[in-house]
Amino acid sequence: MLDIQPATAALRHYDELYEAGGLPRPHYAPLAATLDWIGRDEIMARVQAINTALLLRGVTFTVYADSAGTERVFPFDVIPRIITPDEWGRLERGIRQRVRALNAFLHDVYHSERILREGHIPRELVYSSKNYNREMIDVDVPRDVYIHVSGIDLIRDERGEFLVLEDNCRTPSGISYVLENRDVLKRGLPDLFRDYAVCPVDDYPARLLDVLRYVAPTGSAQPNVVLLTPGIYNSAYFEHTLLARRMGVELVEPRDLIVVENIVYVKTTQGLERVDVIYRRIDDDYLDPLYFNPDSTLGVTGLMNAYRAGNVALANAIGSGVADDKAIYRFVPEMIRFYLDEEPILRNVPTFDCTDPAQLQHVLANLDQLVVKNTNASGGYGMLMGPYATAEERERYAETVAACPRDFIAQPVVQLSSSPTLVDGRMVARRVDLRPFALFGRSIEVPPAALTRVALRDGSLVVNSSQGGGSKDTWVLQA
Amino acid sequence: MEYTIDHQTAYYYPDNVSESYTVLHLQPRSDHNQFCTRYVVDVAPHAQLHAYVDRFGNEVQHFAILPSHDRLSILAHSTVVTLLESDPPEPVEATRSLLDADLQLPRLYDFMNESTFVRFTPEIETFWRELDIPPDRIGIWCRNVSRHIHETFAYDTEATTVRSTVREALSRRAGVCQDFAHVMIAVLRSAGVPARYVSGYIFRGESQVLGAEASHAWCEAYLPPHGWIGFDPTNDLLVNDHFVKVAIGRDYRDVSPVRGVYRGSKHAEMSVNVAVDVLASAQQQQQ
Repeated sequence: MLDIQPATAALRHYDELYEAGGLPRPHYAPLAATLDWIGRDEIMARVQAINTALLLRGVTFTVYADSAGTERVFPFDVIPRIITPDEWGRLERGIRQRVRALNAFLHDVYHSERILREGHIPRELVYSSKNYNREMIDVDVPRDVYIHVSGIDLIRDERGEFLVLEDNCRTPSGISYVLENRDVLKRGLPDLFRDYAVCPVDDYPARLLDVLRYVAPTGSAQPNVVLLTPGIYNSAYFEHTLLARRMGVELVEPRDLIVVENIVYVKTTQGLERVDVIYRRIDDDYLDPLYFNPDSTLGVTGLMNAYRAGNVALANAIGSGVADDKAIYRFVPEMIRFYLDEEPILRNVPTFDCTDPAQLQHVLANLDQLVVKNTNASGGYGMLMGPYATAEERERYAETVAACPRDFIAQPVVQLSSSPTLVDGRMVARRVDLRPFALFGRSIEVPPAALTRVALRDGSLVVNSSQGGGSKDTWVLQA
Repeated sequence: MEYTIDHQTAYYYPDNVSESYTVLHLQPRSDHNQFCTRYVVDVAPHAQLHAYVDRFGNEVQHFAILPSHDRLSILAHSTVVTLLESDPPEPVEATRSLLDADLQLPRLYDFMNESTFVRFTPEIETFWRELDIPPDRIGIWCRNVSRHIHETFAYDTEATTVRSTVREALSRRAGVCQDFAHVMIAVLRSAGVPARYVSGYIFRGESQVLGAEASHAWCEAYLPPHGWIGFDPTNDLLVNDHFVKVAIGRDYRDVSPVRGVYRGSKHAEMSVNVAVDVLASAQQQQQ
């Protein structure tokens, strides 16, 4: 069973399972033994059952710009990804530090602009960010929390060190896969858990609800929390329903809400009911046609007025996307030093700034060795994997970058770590990343509920679900 | 000068509408050039007004009318004392070098870049060629830009709409004050001179100025050492004590006097009436 094929460039990246000498790492050894004991045929039968369960539960995602039926089952790999308590402890500290700094940055850019005035981040970069929301200038948000929920994407470099690949400070998704993956794996392959004390993930919804209640505008003893979804056609609709159900809050669409004299209400069969906190899974642009995209038929008219008046809390805050603009990413270590007077615990991936003419020239001349990303896109859309692109693709991309350098950054290709993965009945090494979620309420917490995404194609370094990625159950071991 | 201003906006919706949310930029500003001593808004059907100060320092009100209605009337009544001279000095001291050295400059990003209605289109570049290259004395140059727009554009209320961009006004060489202001802002910004949009009123007086029958609009340029200087390309005037400033922004979109969203048919009739009068007592004092 564990006759794992080495990945194509085995020595150039870190392997989660094997040490350099070819022996399994100690924390994987019991798992390897259990898999052997269960045997290949039995595992394949269980995989079948697990996949059926996922399909029945509707664990799907939507691929935009895909003509061949948009709803797909998110591929799940049954071999868990294991993280030791030591590794997790460091990640937890690093993420808390990072999110604290990002939140301070958001408060700063919408208030006194200290970090801009003192010249640590170019003003132009912030003002030209598509997600810098001018309506938020001088607006105070409840408890000064902007990033209630964030997803910090990490990868391991060649030496196994976790690096931050990107921050997601708007409406990061993926937690539903974490919850569902654990559930189906526990039912489908309970034996795997036999020798491990794995941190539970199922208290995530309760912890999220705590955060949401904490930011309710002062005066609400029993705050009314709702989850605002754009509706059934959204790619993460499954997640919205799951979180609303597990938190025990109402799932609403924009048309269910109404603003009356600066107060938000939900329409119920018993009349209007005041809303204190909105966990919104709608982009800023579509929240309120009175202030944002006027052509939007989505949205809650007057919501910005209620928000500005302090009568409702939104999670995440409007305008928090400026913190995860990929062109601002390279300044996060600087933010940590500036706001916290600390050294960053987690390092960034080196990043080229295309607005700098010299760096732009370097990027354009070395496209075949770089990953180029659109600064405002996510989900792997609009990126170029230089080494794997055709010359023609690179040429076309170069033109786009040169025309609008502010919209792009470039990074060297980092060889993600590989993890044992079941593909067509064989165990093979496939590349993985890690997205832990941070919750910011009374304090910043990083629940041991992280999403591991896996690139199912051999040699692929792109783990996004929209680009043929799958997911794994992620085990954070108890200390 | 002291003025009273009545600004009435009325909508008639033949098919009835509901849940109408409206934002107003109608309250004259108080700054070192003018002082708003009275401001009252009447809305019919009755609505509760809410207020805030936006990021440009404009006083904004908003209200909502939820039940079905077929008309909406907003009457803003204000009294303003203007303190500028009637014949203000030309901004002759403003130079490019003073502007480049100005410490405020990095904060003026929004007034130096494109915005919804102000785009640096190829047409702007073509228009540019008709003008002198901006010399060091940029204050004088701004005056020339204003004059050139005044001389080469026709004032025509049929040529454009409130949603027209700089491109449309330029191609027709016609428009109203809003278009002239947008064109001038586009030229100034693309020449690296910070420029912003001002909405307000102009007092007709004895002279035949344009734009007095409704809201007026002009352009302000940031010209150290003078600071923000108002240019009215519609009348080729430097802003004087006949101008009442209501709101400033990047362009029309930031400061449209009445903006709203409602539920119902798009079909609506709108009328606007503006009356700017000199207060009798102030007139006597002047004599």
